[in-house]
Amino acid sequence: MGLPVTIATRDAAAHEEAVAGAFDRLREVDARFSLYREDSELSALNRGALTLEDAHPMVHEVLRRCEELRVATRGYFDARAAYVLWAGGTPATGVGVDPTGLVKGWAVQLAADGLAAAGVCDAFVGAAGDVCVRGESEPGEPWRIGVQHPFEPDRVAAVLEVGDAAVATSGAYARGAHIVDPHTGQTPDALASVTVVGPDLGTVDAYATAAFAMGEDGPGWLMTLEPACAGLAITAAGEVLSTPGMERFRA
Amino acid sequence: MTRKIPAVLLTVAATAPSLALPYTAEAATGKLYIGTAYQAHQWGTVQVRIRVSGGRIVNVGAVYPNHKARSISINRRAIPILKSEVLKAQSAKIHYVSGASDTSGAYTASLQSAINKAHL
Repeated sequence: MGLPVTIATRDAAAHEEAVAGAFDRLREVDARFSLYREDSELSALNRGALTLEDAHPMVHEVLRRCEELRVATRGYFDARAAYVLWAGGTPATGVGVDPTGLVKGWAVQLAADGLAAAGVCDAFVGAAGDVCVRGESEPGEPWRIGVQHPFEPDRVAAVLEVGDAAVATSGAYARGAHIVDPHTGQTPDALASVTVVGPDLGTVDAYATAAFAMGEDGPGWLMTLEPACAGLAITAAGEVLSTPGMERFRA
Repeated sequence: MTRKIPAVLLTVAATAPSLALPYTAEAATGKLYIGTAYQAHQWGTVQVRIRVSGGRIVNVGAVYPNHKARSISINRRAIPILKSEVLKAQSAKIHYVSGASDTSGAYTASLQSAINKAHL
């Protein structure tokens, strides 16, 4: 992943072992899925040096989720198209898949679930703008997650109060041309950012990326995610459009 | 197309015992190192800042250029059900910021230069 990961617990000293375990999980996922590492299982798959049959069950699960999400997002989240974009073409041999758009959130969710299993009830795990939240920040108090203001780097556009939930944001202000509409190859420019709140980080991250790639159709598509997930889109023109379910999170 | 990630960090552990960090305020401890600004995309640059305390990175942030709001039509079909507001900028006490990440080479290059300056 190569991205900074933050794990915060209410009592860091008491949970040192659980937190170390969560980072171990993240390293394991990175070693298996990194496209930047020649020795990762994913690189071997894409080279044709490893067959799917011989890949770790983790790899199978991620690729199965990618396919489910491709269908659920009408092809706007597409790990194979992402590979073509990343590598500049399809591989001569091998699978040719870039599940990075799912793996980061999926791995963070895995780490957060591991913390919960280790008895850490109040914590969050955040990676490069996406976060998985558990419990409370202090007794009776929710975690407060800011939605980055797309045009003012040091400000937030909204504050979401969440308990057990995942929050992901996709946008153009940081990633630039890295999100494209896989159907057209164009960079969408109708939206500045899309934030999705739901139960699973990998899923909401893929949804946010897909809604962003849909451009002008993205805000309407967010409605179809209700009631499982709530969405908030900020348009390039500076309008904030949120689904009804987002109301319960707004501070 | 090749994109090389600098051999930098995999993870930055920030097990914060005290969490109430206002987003805009700097963490009280540690020293700030600012990376070189790199061209991130057609609209501008990214510049990564790290805060180092006790030989560890305790905070990572990035600065992106301000963008001009552009007027682009949104498909209005499903919009009546959506709540519409005017975008406002707030400074609020929050625990984490959800925002678009920059996984481009520019981000990691700027991060690497900040780490180099910090001699980590």
